[in-house]
Amino acid sequence: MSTLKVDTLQHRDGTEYILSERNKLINGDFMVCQRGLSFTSTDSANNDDTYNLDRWYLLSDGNDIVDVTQETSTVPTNGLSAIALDVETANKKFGIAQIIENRNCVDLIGNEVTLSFKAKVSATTNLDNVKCAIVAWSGTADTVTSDIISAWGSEGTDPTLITNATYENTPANLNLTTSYATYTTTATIDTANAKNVVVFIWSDVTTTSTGEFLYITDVQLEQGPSNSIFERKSIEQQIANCRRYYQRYEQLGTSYSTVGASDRSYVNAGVVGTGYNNTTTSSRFFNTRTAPLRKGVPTISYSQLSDFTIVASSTRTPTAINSAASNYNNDVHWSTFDVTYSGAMTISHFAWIYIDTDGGFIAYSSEL
Amino acid sequence: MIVTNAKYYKSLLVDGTKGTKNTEIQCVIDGVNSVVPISTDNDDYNEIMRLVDAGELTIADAD
Repeated sequence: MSTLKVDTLQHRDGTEYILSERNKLINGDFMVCQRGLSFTSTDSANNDDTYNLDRWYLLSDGNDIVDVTQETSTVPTNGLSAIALDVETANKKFGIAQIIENRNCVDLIGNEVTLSFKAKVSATTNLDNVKCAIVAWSGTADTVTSDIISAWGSEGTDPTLITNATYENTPANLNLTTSYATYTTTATIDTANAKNVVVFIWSDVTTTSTGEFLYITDVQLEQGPSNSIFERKSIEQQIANCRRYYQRYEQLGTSYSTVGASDRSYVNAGVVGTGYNNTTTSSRFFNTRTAPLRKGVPTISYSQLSDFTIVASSTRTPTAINSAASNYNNDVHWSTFDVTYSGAMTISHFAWIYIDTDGGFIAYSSEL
Repeated sequence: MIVTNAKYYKSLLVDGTKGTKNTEIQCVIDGVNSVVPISTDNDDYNEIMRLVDAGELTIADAD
């Protein structure tokens, strides 16, 4: 037996041969965005510590520090999308992070890993100190406090992390320019009892102006001492990977055809549950998930009740939506929910519920 | 995570009668209507309980 050690594998034409499943991050190219394409102060969607593009969440020194959008114009060659962070409140630090589930990063712990990504800024006048970090979480596995920042600190000083969160690399100014380039950092995840890995990319300056942009895409975390070419997974695989953590169901209508190449990738189904009237003023619905969720007790979120219509012996608009999880052994594959309404209907009658307003939704979240 | 309008809810039982114990928390999380099951397996529930313990959130009783 002998060991073959190589830095890269190449095709005959010299291009890199991509080994699959190297990237431990999900939606590293920001293609999937079930929650929406733009996140602003409307509905608090750009609050600190809030998920936006799938699997990614915003960390910022306060709320409404930046707007977040899926960028489809200012993207690298051979790319389709990026995340754009648009300064809304000047002079504050901000960034994005992703928590990797324990089962998906256990092989990284104790080993050398490399984080790489492509990024640019709209101008280097102020956004002249962008950093990245590989953070180990040594608390309970998969019970990560997502807001890993204890104190943002002064300009150029790395933010202080909370207990159980540890920088594995020494973050440094990456000196971004106004053109896309690839940036990397390497570290060994050697914090004792590390259970999860968090990737964190942020602007470390406290002098910014509104309207300045930071663009990031093709984020990859892989085992090894150097980065390889970004592993662009199939869109169907990325959607399934994202839906392990969040699943959104929307109206069957025109929305899907208007999103084009950005492909928000939510389920555009209209009917979001079928079931029966379990009382004269409530119906119990069953929902089979399009992919297994990470856990069987997700948080249900929904838009306005007036977005929904129940059809049974009559039609009704809900007055409340409730989880019925306590009554059934809900698991990662399916769930139940109850909907109450005014105006009696026939008990035990077959019922279904649909969304009849553009933008209406019901979602199940099992994010870390 | 900003949680407002938190209120306990008792789910209906399989036979349609009202349950006797709290089963979920109805609330608004970051501006979105949400239903959080009472389960330590749910991270939002754990965060809500942390806010309650810190005196930063009060959950109204169920009807």
